Amino acid sequence: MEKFILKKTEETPAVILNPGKNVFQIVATSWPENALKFYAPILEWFANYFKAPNNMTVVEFRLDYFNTSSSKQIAKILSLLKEQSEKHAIKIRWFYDPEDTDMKNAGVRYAQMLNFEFEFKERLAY
Amino acid sequence: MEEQRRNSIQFILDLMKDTRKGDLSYVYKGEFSQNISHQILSLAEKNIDRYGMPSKVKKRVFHIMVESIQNITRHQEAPEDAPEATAIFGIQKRGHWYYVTTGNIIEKTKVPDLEGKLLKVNSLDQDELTQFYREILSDGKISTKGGAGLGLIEMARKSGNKLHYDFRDVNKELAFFYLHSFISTAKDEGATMPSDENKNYISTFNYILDVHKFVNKENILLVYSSVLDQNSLLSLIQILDSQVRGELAFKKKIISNMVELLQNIIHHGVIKKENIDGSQAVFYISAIGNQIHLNTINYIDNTNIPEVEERLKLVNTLNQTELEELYNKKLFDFTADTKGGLGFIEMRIKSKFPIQYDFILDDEKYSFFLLKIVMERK
Repeated sequence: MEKFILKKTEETPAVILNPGKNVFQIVATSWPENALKFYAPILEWFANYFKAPNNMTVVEFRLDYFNTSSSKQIAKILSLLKEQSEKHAIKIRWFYDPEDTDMKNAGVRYAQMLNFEFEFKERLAY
Repeated sequence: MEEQRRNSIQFILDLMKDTRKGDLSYVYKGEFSQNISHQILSLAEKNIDRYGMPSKVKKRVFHIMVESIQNITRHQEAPEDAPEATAIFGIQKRGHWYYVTTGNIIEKTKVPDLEGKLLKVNSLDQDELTQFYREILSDGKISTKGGAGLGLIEMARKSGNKLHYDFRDVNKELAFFYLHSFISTAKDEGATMPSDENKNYISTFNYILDVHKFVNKENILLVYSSVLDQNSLLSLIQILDSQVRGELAFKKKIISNMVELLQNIIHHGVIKKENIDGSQAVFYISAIGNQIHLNTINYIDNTNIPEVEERLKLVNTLNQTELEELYNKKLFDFTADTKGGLGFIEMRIKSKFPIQYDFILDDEKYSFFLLKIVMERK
């Protein structure tokens, strides 16, 4: 499976999906004008990847900000991961700044809604 | 109180109407750190780019903005306890002219010297200005604060016009110094303003004085009245990020709400002027006690009002638990991708106060849509 890498910009997160190194991360800020368009290839990549995934896939969300339209696309990604977790070993790690309770709560919300156990981790500023 | 509120609204509606002519106005009041200055310039630059002007003109406008802001940073002497003494920067585009205005506090004892420099600069023609500039440089009489007036000479040279200025009393020791320069968008270097444009020039200066009064009265940190797009949003975020003090969680709430508010306008705002890529809007932030108020005004199609109003009414009647439930439901409703509908709910959750809104009829097709989000520090 080809890796999928996007550099972070002022409005979109860094995306590192690298099965070779077993690294799967979405990092920084996500407030694109068109979140649907930004996340579509990421969703497609994951759908393909789970045809032949690694033994263990740990997906890390290390976000500072996301807008509501991104939150919906993240919900889609997490729904896909939850679905695949029934067949494959998948872990979600949700990072948040200890001072940023909203970001932690956002993760708790996803975990509850999907009935999906996340690993929550405090982190320092990037 | 009611009358004051009405005056404020009228003032903002007038700002909004100006955006229809393709005009721009952008006023920032506050501290001018290096990062903020950089973002202010970048925001103005993005706006200038939109009008597709010759690069020569762009450079000239940019140069004058840089000099103006440096002028402020050099002379920032605002005492902490006098918010009305905080520096202000404004850029306006009216027809074929750009107007750059700054205002900053200055000790009254320094007024005669400064006015002397301004009178000298205004007495010289372009050739004499160049000559004078060289003289000062070779004299080596440049103080650490750049007090030789090189900036003023540069502004007069680049604009090709006289510098307009004014001093207004702040208190016994301090005065407010306004400096107003104007630049033609015409290609030829330093076009001089024809006499029929003169009233525009005076009116743009009076306008800044009006804005400044309004800004002081409402304790506004920033007023942006122009076309809004993703790029201008990104600059505004950066400015706000450096401008608002306080704990991280509060700052993040403000920025998140601002992104939702403004992206809402970018996506759904009505464009009342052709050939413009973005929505016209006025955005201003005020600091009132321990509250921050985010305000927007944009145009809305009259036929869309009932639906928007219904959504606002709904989120305003729900309590926090109900809001959370509605949010969760919408978050996983993937059938309504384009109409997210999450924005108002999220703003309401983050703000904890009801969303204040109003619709004011403009004509048979459109209305002004006013929104206010209140946030309070713990």
